[in-house]
Amino acid sequence: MFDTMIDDFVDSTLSPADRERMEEHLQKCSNCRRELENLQTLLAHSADLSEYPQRDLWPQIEAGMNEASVLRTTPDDQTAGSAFAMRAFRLTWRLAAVAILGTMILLAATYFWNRPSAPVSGTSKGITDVTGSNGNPKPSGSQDNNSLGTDLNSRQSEPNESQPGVPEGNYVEACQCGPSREISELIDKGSIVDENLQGMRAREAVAEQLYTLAEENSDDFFLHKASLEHHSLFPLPAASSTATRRYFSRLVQRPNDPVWTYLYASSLFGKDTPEMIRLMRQLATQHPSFPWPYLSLAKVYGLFSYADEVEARSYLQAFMKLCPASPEPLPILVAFKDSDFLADTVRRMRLNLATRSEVHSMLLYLHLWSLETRSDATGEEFSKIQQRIREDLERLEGVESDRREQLAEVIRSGYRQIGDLDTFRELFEKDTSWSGRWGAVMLEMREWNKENPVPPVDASAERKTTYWENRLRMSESLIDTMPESPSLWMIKLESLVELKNHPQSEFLEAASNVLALEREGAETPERGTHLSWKSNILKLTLLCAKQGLFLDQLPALIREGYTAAERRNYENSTDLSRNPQWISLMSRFNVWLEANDAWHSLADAYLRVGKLDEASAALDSMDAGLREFKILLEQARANAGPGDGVVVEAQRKSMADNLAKLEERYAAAQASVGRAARK
Amino acid sequence: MTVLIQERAMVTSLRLMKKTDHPEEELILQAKAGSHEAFEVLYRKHLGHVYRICLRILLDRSRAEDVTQKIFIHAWMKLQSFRGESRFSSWLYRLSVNMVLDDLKLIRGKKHPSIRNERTELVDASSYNPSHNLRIDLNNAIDSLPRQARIVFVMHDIAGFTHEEIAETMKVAPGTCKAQLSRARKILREVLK
Repeated sequence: MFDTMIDDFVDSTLSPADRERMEEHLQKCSNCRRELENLQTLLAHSADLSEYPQRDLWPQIEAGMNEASVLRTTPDDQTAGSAFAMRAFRLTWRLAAVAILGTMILLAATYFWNRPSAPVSGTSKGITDVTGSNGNPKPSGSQDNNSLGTDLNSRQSEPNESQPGVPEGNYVEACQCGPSREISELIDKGSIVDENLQGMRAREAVAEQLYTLAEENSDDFFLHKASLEHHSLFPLPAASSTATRRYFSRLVQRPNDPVWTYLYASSLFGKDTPEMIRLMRQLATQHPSFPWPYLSLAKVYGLFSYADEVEARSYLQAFMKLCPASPEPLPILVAFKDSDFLADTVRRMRLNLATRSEVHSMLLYLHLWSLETRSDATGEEFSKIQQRIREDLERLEGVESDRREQLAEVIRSGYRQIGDLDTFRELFEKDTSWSGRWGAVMLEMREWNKENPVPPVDASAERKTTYWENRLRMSESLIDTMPESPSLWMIKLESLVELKNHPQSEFLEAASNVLALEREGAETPERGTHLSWKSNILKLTLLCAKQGLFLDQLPALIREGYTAAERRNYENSTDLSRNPQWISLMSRFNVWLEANDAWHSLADAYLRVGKLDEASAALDSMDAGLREFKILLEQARANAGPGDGVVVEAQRKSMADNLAKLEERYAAAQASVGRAARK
Repeated sequence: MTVLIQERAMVTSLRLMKKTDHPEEELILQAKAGSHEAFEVLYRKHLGHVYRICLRILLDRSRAEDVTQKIFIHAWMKLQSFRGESRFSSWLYRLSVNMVLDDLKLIRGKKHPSIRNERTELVDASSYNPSHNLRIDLNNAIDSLPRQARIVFVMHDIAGFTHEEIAETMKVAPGTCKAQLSRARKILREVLK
C-alpha cells in the first residue's frame, strides 16, 4: 500500500494524516526509502536536463516575430494558469479565427496593392500613399492598442504626423537609369574606405558610409542602392541583416512603396532569396516602368541555384529596353551561355562604358575584360581584344590620382588579363592597402609553393629540415609585409613545430599573436571563400597539443575555436546554392573535423603525461561529435533529393567514410587509454 | 556537439543578460513593449526546456525544432495575455505542451522519423562521462515509454502540469492520469537502479 503512496508523497498530494503515516513508515522500511530516493533522483534529473536543438532557431523565430506582428491578438482574460477546460477547443477556434483574419488582411492588402496608383507630383508614374489621406479603410484587427511598432496594419491607418522620418521613396528618381552627376560623385566619395580595412570589413564599411550618405541626402535611391550592392553581389549576411531590418522598418510604415519594397527585397538576397524573387516579380508586374527589379531578377535567374537562362534573358532584355545605355548588366553577363547574345551584349556594354567617367562605373571594366578574354577568340582577334584593353588601361591610368587609387584593383587585373605580369607584380608591390598587400602576399606564397614542393614522407631528414627552415623564412618575410594576418603567423607556427630546434619562446610569441589576432577578428574570409576557411584557433590547439603546451587550457580553447568557426560559417551562409542545408552541414562538418583532430591530439598529449581522466574527457568530446554527425548524416540521407546532383552524393559518401575512419581512430584511442589505465 | 550548442546558447544568454542585466519580470515587460532583444534573452533561457518537452513528446528532432520555433513565435504573439499571475516558465511550458499536442494530433497516423533508433544507437556506444550516460539512458527510457505514459510524464514532471490539468487536456479521468504517471515513473526508476 505504501508503495503506491510514494508518488503522492513526493508530489505533496497526500492528506496530512496519510503523510504522517507515510513518514512513519519510511523510518522503518528501507525498500520504500530506496524507492523514494530513486524517485527523487529521477525527478531531479528530469527537471534539470535541458536539451538543445541542433541549429540556432532564433533567426527564424525573429523573422516569424516580424511576420507574426500583424496577427497579434489583443490581451484577453485567459491566463496560462487557469481556464484549462475547453483549451483545446479555444485554441482551435482561435487558430481558425486568426486564419480568417489573416485571409481578410491578405485580401485587403492584395486589393490595395493591386489598385491603381494615385498620381504623384504631376508624374504619370504614381505610387499609393497608404499612410496619408488617400481614403484607405483601416483593415480589421488594426485597432489593437497593444500592437508592436512593426504592426503593419495599425501603422497603415495612423496619420502622417505620427510617422516622423519615413518619407516616401523617391520613385520618380528610382525610375531613372542611373544617378545624377552630383549623386554619382557622392557614390564615388562614399566608396573610399580606410585602406587598412581588409576585404569583407572594407565592403561593410563602404556599405555603411553609403547608407549614411543616402540618409543625409533625402534618402536618395541610388545611394541606397549602391550601399546594398556593396554587400549583395556576393551577400555579406551580417551587413545584409542590418539592411533588412532598416528597410523593413521603412516598409512597414510605407507598405506599398515600390522604392522601399525594392530596397527591402534587395537586402534579402542570399538570405531569403525566394522572398526576394516574389517581391521583385510583384514590383515588375505592378510597376513596369521601374527598371531595377528586372535587373535584380536577371541576376537571380543567372545564379546556378535558380538558373533559368530564358527567364534571366527576358528580364535582362526588359531592363535594357528601359535603360539601353546602362553598363550595369555587366556583372551578370557571366551567367549567359548563348554566345551570340553574349557577344552582342558585351559589345553594347563596351560602348556604354566608354561614355562613363565615374569610378563606380569604371570598376565594371573588370567584368568587361573578363568576358572579352574568356571568349574563344584567337590569333589576330585576340590581339585586337588585348589592344582594346590596353587602350582602356591608358584611359583608367589617366584619371586623377585619388580616383586612380580606387581603380587600382581593376587596373592590376587589366594587366594580368593581357598577360603583362611584370606590371601586374609591380603594381601589387606599390599598393599599400590591405587588399594590395594581401594580393601580393598570396602571389608570393603561390610562387614559393610552386618552387618548393612539400618533401615526400620518406624524404631524408636533412631535406625536410631544409624545407621547413625555408618555409619559416618565407613566413617571416610575409609577416613583415602583413603582421596583422593570423594565417601567416600560423605558417610560422607550423614550421616551428616541424623544426623542433628553435627556442620555445618563438612558438609562444607566434601562438599568442594568432590567438590575439583571431580574437580581434583581424581576418575574415573574402567573398565566396568562407566554406573552405579553416579555423586558426583550432589549428593552434592542435599544434599546442602536439607540443604538449597549455594542455589544461586547450579544452576551453577548442570550444572557443569551434564556436567561433561555427558562428562565422553561420553568419556567412547564404541560400545561394542548390542544397543550402547540405552546404551548411558540410561546412559544420569541416569545422568539426578540425575540432576532432584537436581533441584527438589533446587526448594523446594527456596520455603521454599520464593524465588518464583528462584523456578520457577529450575522447568523450570526440565521441559526442561523432554521434551527432552520424545522426545528421542519416537525416541528410533521408532528405536526399534528385536535385542534389553527383557532387552532393559524393560528398555524402566522403562524409560517411570520414566518420567511419574517425570511429576507428576513436576506438583505437579509447583502447590506448584503457591499456594505460590497466597498467 | 550538443554541449557546445548548449554552451553557445548559455554564452549568448549571459551576454544578453549582462547587456540588459534585468530580472525576468522586466525582460517580459520590455518584450511586451516590443523588444526583440529582451525576448531573445527569455528564449535563450527557456529554449532547453521547451525543446526537451517537444522532443520527448514528438520523438522527432526536426519536428521538435519546428514546433519549438512555432511555440516561441506564438508566445511572442500571446505575450500581452501574460499577466504575471503565474511564473513565466509555467505559462510558457503550458503553451508548449498545448502546441506540441496539437502537432501530435496532426502527425498521428502519418509515418514520421523517430529518434528511438538514434537513441538505441547512442545507448549502445559506451561513454566516459557518468552524468552523460545517465542523461542518455534517462532520455532513452522516456522515449521508450508507452505513448500516453510518456506524455503524462512529460506534462507532469517536466512541464509542471497538475493531474487535473492533464486530465482536462487529454480528456481522461484524473485517476487514469495518476496511474499513467505512476507507471511511467516506475519504469524510469529502474533506469536509475
